[in-house]
Amino acid sequence: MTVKQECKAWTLLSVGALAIAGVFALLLVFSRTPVIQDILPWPWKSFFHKGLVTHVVFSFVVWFLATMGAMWSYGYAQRVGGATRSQVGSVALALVSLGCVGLILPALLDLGTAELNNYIPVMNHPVYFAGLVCLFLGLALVAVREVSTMQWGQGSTICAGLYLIALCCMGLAYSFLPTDLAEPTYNERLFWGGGHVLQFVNTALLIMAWMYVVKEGSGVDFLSKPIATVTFVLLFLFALPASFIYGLFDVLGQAHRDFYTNMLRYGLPLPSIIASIGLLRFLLSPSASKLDRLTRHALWLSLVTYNLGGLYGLMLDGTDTRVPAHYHAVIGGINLAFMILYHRVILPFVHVDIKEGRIFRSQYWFYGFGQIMHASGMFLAGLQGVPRKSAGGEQALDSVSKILSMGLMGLGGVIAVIGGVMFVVITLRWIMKGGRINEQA
Amino acid sequence: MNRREKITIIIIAIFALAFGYRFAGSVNNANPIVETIPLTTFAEFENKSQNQKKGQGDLYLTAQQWAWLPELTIHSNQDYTLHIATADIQHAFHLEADAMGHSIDVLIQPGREYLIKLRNLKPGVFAIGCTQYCGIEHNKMRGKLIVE
Repeated sequence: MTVKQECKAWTLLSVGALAIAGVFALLLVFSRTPVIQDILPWPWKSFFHKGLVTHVVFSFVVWFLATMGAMWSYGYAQRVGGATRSQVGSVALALVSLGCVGLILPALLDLGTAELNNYIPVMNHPVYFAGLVCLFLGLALVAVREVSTMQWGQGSTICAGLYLIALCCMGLAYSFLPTDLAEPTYNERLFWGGGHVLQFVNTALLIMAWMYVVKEGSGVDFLSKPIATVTFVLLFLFALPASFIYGLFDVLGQAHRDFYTNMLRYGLPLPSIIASIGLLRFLLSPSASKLDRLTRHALWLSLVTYNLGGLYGLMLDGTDTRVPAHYHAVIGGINLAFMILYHRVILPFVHVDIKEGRIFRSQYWFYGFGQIMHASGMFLAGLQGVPRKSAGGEQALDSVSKILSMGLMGLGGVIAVIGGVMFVVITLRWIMKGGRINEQA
Repeated sequence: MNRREKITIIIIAIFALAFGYRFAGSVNNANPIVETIPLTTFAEFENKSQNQKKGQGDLYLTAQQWAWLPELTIHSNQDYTLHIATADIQHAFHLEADAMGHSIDVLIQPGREYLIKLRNLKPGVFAIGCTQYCGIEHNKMRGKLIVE
């Protein structure tokens, strides 16, 4: 398989992961709908949480990691040429595909029990864990290929280094955790350190996506090489101690837990601010006119949504809806960057034709404004004490302002889902029409 | 590298050092308001919790999947020592910032009793939550502290 074909396969996997997440979202709705729930061939009550785990793992974990694979192979192709053959890429893709099967089966076959722990929700069943291992291992192979090019200071190489640190944390947690822990505690602590480091990976991916899109559309590096290097190195330096902490503090203790939350608090703002200021300066400069209108709008939406999430993150406390407001806006900003990255950089690179029209353009506005409304509604509700992950009477919506805030959240959510579905349907159709992976690319 | 880039990198380095200093200072920063002691038997703690009387300075709160028990009602003009233990697995006690002017967030592990000083309480009803995943109904683990 050539590196270009590999890039196309990662693209199919990542957008396909969103499609799978969408199917599971529908199944979740069915599992709670009277009459239809009785037709489903598995126990609807146990399916709800398992379906939710599968939905989250595909819409967040697999989508982000497969997009990382697409970006690494795109970057690798720029260095070695798209026609270069890569055995590593083929093995990695096979492992990740196998992993995806392992992640789906437990929900469909009613195997194990569901845990909605932070970062990597799981099903307590060997098939699911085998799926996770295959997924992580597949991308680890590509990460090692990326690191072995030794282009230190380059975003993709540092991103690969960060990913390997995250895996190292998970491996250390596995070796340090007592095996007799209760499953919720075990799973939460297993992915606590690695999950936090993965947020550094996601930040690196966002900055890389912005850089690729701007470079492809205008030929401009919105961060000069030294500044870009400093930005990525900062991410790496703050995440570097993550794996050593396992040897210093009790893996079940408060110091261990707080280290990772503080690592995010102090390690992520500065690189995010540098990249955001760089992009803002570019978008306000005459050079921005070299980009087409949609790309400019998509970058603005991504920049605003991501930074709104960062701002909400500075003001969160405890267990109210300000917490999901923060991460929904941040993830929304990253997703918008990935959407325009696929449409403007990756799909043209793998020779998938794009037909643009009003519907195509509107997906960005639906998704961007929907996410801003959704997150802002949650933030306003959280300021008034509305608890997160609650429904009905538990929310205690006893004032007009609380009802309006949650209404804004609901309306924004629906609009964002419409935009997300449009992206998946439109993009997946184009990829399928673009022929088989071994054709064209 | 041009002069402008050099100045930018110096500014970034100053900010990075400030963030790094704060980060390093936060590592293993023992919380002065929390003390922990080994818990020999949970039944002993449960007994104290069930027999606690309104107005006494020691309060007992049990964390369990998925509730904080009992609901505590206290006075704003008095200082308290809040004792917390878990009846089952790991939880994390979180009291919202409005109660004392700063939030409290303490990881609660089985086999230990956690003693937290409650001072300068303001009147009101304050949310108690669990901030560490503790099972599929973790989101329902809520309680309240009523300060009269």
